[in-house]
Amino acid sequence: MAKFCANGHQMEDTWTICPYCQKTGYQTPGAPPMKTRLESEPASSAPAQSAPAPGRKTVLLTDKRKPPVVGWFVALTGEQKGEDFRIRDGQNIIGSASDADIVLRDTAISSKHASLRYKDQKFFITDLDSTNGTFVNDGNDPVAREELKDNDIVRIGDVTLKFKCL
Amino acid sequence: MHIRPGIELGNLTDIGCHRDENQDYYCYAEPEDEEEFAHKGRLAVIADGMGGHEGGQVASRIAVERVRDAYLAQPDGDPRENLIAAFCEAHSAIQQYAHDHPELEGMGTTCTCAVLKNNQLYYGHVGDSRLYLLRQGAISLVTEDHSYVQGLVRQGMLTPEEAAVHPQRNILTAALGTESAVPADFSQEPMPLAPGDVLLLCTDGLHGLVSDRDLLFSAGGSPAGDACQELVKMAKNRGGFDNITVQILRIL
Repeated sequence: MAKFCANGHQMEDTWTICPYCQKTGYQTPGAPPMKTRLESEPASSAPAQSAPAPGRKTVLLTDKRKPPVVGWFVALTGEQKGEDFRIRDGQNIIGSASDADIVLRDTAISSKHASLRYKDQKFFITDLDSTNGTFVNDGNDPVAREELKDNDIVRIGDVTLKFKCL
Repeated sequence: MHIRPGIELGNLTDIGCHRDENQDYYCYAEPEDEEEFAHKGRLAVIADGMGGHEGGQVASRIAVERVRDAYLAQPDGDPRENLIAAFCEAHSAIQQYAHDHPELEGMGTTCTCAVLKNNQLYYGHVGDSRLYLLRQGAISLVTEDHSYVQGLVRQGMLTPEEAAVHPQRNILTAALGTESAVPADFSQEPMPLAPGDVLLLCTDGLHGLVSDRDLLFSAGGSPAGDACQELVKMAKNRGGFDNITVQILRIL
């Protein structure tokens, strides 16, 4: 029988390291791949829906993680001018950190600058003690917490965002 | 790794002649534990990623590893249900990774997984990678491509021959890890396999350039490992436009 690495890739007899396993930066979180046991939901709760296709059942793999989109920001200025950002149900962190929900690349923006929360069909923006403040519409004073209405303008660092609600 | 008797396995991937990275990934796995093996069987997975900034490589790798790990971690039960759960998990894992790495946004991947348990075949499938069954000198395509041209074939607007050379044959209608929910196909009923049957999984880098007849000729005759070498070489001789990946399992 031929020789196979831990991931089941066929290897030449002379190889000691599998070249196909080395390629990307992605690492399976946790222990060595074959030992990994992931948290998993019972199969019965899998969000599978069947579509009526004769002979072949098509299942929809749904996104369990992300809440529905309830609005958008569109950047009017700055490096990301013209880009849109989805606002989802619940809390949306706006900041320069890569794990923020709405990531704005601007040196004047704090890593977690502000939070936009959608609840009971209302949008509230809250400044998260940012260094340079959060401004709404033409206001010259930074806001602590403010309700946003459709077409409001939010200024964060050097970025101007237009708010659109669903 | 040690492969239990019962099959002959071969697999190979190649970057091809025109790409500067290999966005395909694949694996073969069996649970280490004998009892687990009796419940889960063996599985072979292949994936063909897409997306810039290494996104394609990352997506195909997450898909293959997550489908494998999640399938093996499922409670014992119907392999079909377990495959569905595993595909859901891989789908979410890629989305999560793209979310955490905004530069990779838009990455996605095909994914085709064959599970072999007690000589019964189960499969899960998204995209345009393929699973073929070779039996008694005939080759049949088990999966159906999720592609724009396949949609046209279904509607009777293209013949399969026209679809094979259509300029838009690379457009996918489903991929794991994309923004929204995706349609995936899973075997309805397990398909009984017999000694001599051959399963062939491949990405479009192979089936786009090598005809079913050639697949049958190579994989049906030669030892699995040699057939993989032969088929990859054939695809490269014909242009090797994309990454090429093939896995062959012969039931003994």
